[in-house]
Amino acid sequence: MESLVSAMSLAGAPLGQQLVVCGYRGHHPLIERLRELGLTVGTELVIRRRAPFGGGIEVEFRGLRLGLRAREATAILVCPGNGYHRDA
Amino acid sequence: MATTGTPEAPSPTIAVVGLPNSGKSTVFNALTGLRQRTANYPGVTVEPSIGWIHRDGRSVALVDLPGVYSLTPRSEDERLAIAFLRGQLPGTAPPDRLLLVIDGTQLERGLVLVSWMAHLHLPTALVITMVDELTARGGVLEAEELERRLGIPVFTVVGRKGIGIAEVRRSALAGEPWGIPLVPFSPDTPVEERYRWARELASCVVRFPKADVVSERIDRVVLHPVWGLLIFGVVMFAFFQAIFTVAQPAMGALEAGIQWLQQQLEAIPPGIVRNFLAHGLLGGVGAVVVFLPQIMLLYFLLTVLEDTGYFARAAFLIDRLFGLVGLQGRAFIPLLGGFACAIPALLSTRVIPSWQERLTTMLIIPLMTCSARLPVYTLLIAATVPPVYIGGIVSVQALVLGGLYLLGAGTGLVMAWLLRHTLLRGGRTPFVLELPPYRIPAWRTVLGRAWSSGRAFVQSAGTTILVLSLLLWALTELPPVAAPAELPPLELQRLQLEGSFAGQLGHLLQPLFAPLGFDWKITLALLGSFAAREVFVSFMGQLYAVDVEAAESTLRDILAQSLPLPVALSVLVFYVYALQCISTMAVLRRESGSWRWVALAFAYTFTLAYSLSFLVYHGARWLLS
Repeated sequence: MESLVSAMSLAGAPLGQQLVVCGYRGHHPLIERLRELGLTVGTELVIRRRAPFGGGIEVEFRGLRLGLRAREATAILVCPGNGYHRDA
Repeated sequence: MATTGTPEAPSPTIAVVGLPNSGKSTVFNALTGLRQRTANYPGVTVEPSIGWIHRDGRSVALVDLPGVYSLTPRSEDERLAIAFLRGQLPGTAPPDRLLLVIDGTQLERGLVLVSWMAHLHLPTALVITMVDELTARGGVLEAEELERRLGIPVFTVVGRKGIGIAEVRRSALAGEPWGIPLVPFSPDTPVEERYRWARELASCVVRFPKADVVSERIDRVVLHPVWGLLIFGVVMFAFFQAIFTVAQPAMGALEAGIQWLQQQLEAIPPGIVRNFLAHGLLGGVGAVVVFLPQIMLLYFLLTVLEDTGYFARAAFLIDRLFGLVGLQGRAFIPLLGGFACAIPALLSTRVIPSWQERLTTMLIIPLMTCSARLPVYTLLIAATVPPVYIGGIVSVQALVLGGLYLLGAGTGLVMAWLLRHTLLRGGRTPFVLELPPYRIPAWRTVLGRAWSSGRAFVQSAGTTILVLSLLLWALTELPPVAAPAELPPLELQRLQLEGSFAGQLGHLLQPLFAPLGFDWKITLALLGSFAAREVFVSFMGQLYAVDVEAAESTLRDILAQSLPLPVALSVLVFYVYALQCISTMAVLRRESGSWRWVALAFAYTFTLAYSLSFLVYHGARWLLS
C-alpha cells in the first residue's frame, strides 16, 4: 500500500511516463468496463497524448491504444514506475 | 438473392463472437460472401447479419453478433449479443456452436474473452486474425501449442486476403468436433485473474512482436492539436463533398430512367390509370431508389473511414465539443451526413453505442439542412432578398443562405442538450474508444457493406416510402377535376391541384398558417413537400402556372412581385425546422423502432418551425414598416 502515497488520478498524470494502475476511485459500471478492457490493478500504461479542447487522453497498455474521456480517466488511480506486480 | 441462400431444412447455427475491432466482420464476410441478410429479432434495434455457407447439400448458418468484452452487457449491442448467446432472446434458440474471432496482435485480451465464453459450454473453435500484421511486426504464433492448451481447434487467418478462410469453412461445414475451451475458472472469477492467466498463456504461444511504430508515427500528425484538426477539417470536407456531388450523376441517371419509363407509359390512353402508373407508382418507386446512390456511397465512405482506423481518431479529436451537448464524438458523421440527406444519416447513427445518445442524434438530424432544401432556399432567396453587397464584397443573399444552415445546426445542438437533460437522460456508456492500428481496408468488406445497406434500405424503409408516396399521389390527383381539354396543360395541372383533396386540405389548413403570413398556395406547396422538399418548387410552379423546368426565372420573377420579403423569410425559417419529409419519417420509424419517436420529432420540429416563423414574419414586418 506504500505506493498509494504517490497515487494520482490518471487524468492529471504526466504524458509519456511509465505508469501503473494502482487503484480506482468511485464504484460504478465504468470501472468494471475499464477492468474488462484490461486496466486491471498492476497494469503498466503510458499516456500518449491529450485530445484538443481539454478533451480526453490516449493511453497505451497491453498493446492497445484507448481514448478515454476525462471523467473516465479520473476514475483510475496510477503510480509512477514499472509494474509492481510483475506477474500481473 | 436474399432468399436463394435460405436453406429449407433448419441448419446448425454458429455464432461469430469477438471483441470490437477484432476483424470479426471481415472473417464473417469472407466466410459467407454475399449470402447474408440482416436478422430482424423482435424488440431489438440492433440487427446482426446472418449468412450461410453450404456445399453438397450441407449448410450452416452464421450469425455475426455485435462485439462483446465479457458476458456482462453494458450497451444495447452487447445486451443483444449476450442474450442471443445464452438463448434468452425471445423467438430464437441458442446457437449450436461458437466461432471465436480474436486479433493475433491482441492475443492477451482475446484470450480473456475466450475465458468468459468458455462458461457458455458450447463447442467452440478459435479464429486468430491479423496474423500477417503479427508476422510483419516480428511475432511468431504457435497455433498448435495454443490448440493443445485450450483443447479447441485454432485457425490462423488473414481475413481481408481470405487466407486460411477455406479451412474454417470446411471445419464448420463438416461438423468437425469442436471443444469447450479449457479454462481454470468459474463464472465469477474476477477479471484480474483472467488477465494473469491470459498473459501467461500468450507468452507461451507468441514470441512477442515489436510495437506498432507506424501507427504511432501517423498519430503524431493526425492527432496533433493543430495539424490533426486541419486534417480533420479536410477529411470531413471531402467526405461531405463526396456525398453531395459524387452521388449526383447516379441519382440523375436513376431519375432519368424513371422518366424514360414514365414516357413509355404514354402508349396507354391518358386518364387516371396512366396517371397512377406514371406518377403514383413509378413516382413512388423513384422516391425510393433515388436515395440508393447516396446511401451506398455513405456506407462505402463510412466503412473506409472506420476500417482504416481514421474514424476512431476523428471521434477522439472532436469528442470534447460534442460532450458539451451530451453527445459523443461518434455523432459527427451522422450529423455531417445530415447536410446531404437525412436518410443515410439516420442509418449511420448505428455507430453510436449508447441508445439514448443514438436516439438524440437521430432526433436532431432533421435540423441539419439537407440538400433537398437547397432548391427551396435558392428560389426564395433569389426572388425576394435584394442582391446587394455589404461593403461591396459580402453578398446579403449568401449571408441569408449561410445563416439558414447555421440556424438549423445551432438549434440542433441546443435541442440535443435539451433532450439529453430531459427525455433522454443517462445511457452514458463509458466513452472508451479503441484506436486500432492503421490498416488498408478490405475491399470485399467495404463493398459488401455498401451493397447490403442499400438492400436493407429498399427492403424495409422502401415499402413505407412507397405507400406514403402513393397516398400523397392520391391526395393530389383525386378527385379528378373536370376541365375543358382545350386549356393549356399547365393550366389543367393548376386546376387539378386546386380541386384535389390536397387542394381542399390546403384551403382547410390555410387559417392555421395565416399567422405566419402563408397564403393557401404556400400552404399547399408546403403539403406537397412532404413527398420531398424540392417538390415545393414544382408545386409553386404549378400553382403559379409556369413551367419551372423551362424557365425558372419566370417563377422567380412572379414570386419577386407577389411574395413580400417577410413571407419569404417566414417560409425559409419554416423550412429550416419543419420535419416534412415522409422518407425521413419512415426511416426514423424503422431505426427508432417506434412511431412514438417520429411523432416527437414531428411535434418538436413543427413547434419550432411555427413559433420561429411567426416571430420572423411579424418581426420582419415591423422592421420594414
